Amino acid sequence: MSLYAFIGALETGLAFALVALGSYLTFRVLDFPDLTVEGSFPLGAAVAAKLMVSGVDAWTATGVAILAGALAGLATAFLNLKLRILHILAGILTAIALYSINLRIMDRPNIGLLNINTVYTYVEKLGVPSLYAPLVLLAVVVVICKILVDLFLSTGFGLALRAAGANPRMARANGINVDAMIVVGLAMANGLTALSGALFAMMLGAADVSMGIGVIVVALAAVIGGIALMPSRTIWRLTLACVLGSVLYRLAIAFALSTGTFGLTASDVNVVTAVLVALALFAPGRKLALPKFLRARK
Amino acid sequence: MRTAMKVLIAAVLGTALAGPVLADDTKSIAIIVMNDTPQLLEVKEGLLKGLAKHGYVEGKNLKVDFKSAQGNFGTAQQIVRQFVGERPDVIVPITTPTSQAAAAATKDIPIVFSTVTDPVAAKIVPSNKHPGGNASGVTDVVPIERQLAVVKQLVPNLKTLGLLYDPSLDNARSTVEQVKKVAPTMGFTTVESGAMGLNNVPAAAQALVGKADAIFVPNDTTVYGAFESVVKVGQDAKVPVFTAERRSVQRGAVATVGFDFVQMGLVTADMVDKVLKGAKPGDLDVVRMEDVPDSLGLYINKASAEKMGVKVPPELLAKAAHVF
Repeated sequence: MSLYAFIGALETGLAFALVALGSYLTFRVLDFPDLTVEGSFPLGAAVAAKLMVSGVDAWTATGVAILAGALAGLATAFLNLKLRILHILAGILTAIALYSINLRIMDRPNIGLLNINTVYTYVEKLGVPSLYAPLVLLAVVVVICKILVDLFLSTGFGLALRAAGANPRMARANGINVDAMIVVGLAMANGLTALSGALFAMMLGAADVSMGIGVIVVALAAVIGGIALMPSRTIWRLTLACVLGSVLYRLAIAFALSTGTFGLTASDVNVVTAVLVALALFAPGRKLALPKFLRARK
Repeated sequence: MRTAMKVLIAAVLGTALAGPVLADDTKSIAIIVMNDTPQLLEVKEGLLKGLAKHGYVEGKNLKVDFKSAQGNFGTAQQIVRQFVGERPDVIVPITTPTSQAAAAATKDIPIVFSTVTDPVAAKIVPSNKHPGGNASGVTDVVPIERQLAVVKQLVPNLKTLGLLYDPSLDNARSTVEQVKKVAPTMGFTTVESGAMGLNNVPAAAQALVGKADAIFVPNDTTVYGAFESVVKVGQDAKVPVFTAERRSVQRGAVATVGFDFVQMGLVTADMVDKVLKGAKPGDLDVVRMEDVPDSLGLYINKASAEKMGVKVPPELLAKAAHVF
């Protein structure tokens, strides 16, 4: 593996770590399996790309992308809470609707973002070499988001949100508005996901409507794998585990991609991923790690 | 397990700085495809065949690194990063998204892209003539007037042409825009039916029955993936189906004027050869397949045409490059 491949793995891992943080909030904290991310990831990319090619600066475009993602989360919350649609199905419905909406937003399936000022261009202007610009910016953004999530979850409101996920009935009995917690949690998670989509698109050089395919698997692999490798009961360690899980996942792929290593080839990527996640799940401490619905019944 | 993880991390970090070593006279190219569709693999096959003709033989004096992103954009990003690290003599991305990723990842390693419909709109090159930069390549832009002329010839009372395509594919979408632009001048209207994903192709084809006198499918990997179902709809409902590519005619479309993907690979190889010999991609104009002499041929599937209620005139059969 070359330095470039290594950096590529780090930056891609960090970009997707934001989705992992969002999925940690929904899957683990809220106990709400939210599949909206398959739509809100390309939504963030689409909104940011469309605004940027229309002349809006990259930071504003990214900000609007986050808001758009939060709206997508609200849509899923609405379907689940008001229309009483099963959580997993509510997310799927929003995600497939977003596919068409993303096409509308971009007005075509693909917007190229080359030779345009992205957030990374600004970092380069600060004197960071272009090879490291995405890595530096993403590291800063991920650290900030991770700390914000940690701080949020330790406020009174955050504690109420955790209680709503851990035991909704008990939470309700203690006067917590569980519905409001779901609304806020989904908005945050999908805002993070859209931010991830926007930052990834700028790195890739294009926003494409098919970008969301497989995002949920990647996010879950990061959350489950990370937490299984670093089991803990402390929030800041768990969010750290999600970030590291995402980076490790990408390193595993880079490992599989570097031809010749143990005779692995590019087409083995998925099986390497599966083996790695399975190993992580097999690790001691898995009792703490798995959300209820993913745990094997004995 | 903890130890195993540490070993893995150590192994990953350990190999991080080790690059491949090449012999002096060996050239290296790195090819990336977005997914493993047969058409794209034909482009790759043609590319290697063409390079062999120019004297570069894989395993002898040519190192080929071929990778598929398996449809995953994160993987595509990592692959181009890896290529940049390996510093091959040329990177050959096939299709639009991988070409954008390659162009974003390097400004100095030469890029020769293939099977991109509109590289200017995709921002891969600033212009098709003398693109500057480090990228040039081959576009599969469809000679749409000539294809539609064949449709008109075989369906003389054509009033409405049904366009069956996957709206999420940039290549398909830009062809459809061209068809809609020229339709009024050729005396027919269009009606669209979108098939998002392979599973929706049969229903999207059926939706055109009764609305369209003929169906046209642009270069669209989704629809081609389930093309037999479209042929069946066409034969059952007697709605002739036309495409923008040769293979699908073999599989049951009535006819097309087009080039084949192996040949597109051969043309790409010509440009790769120039770059390997020292030319800068920025000095090479983007090659449009339709400008390549003898690249266009008329392909007809006579048996399928009859099942769809089309009688192929003998003079057209005589002109065909191949009748299936």
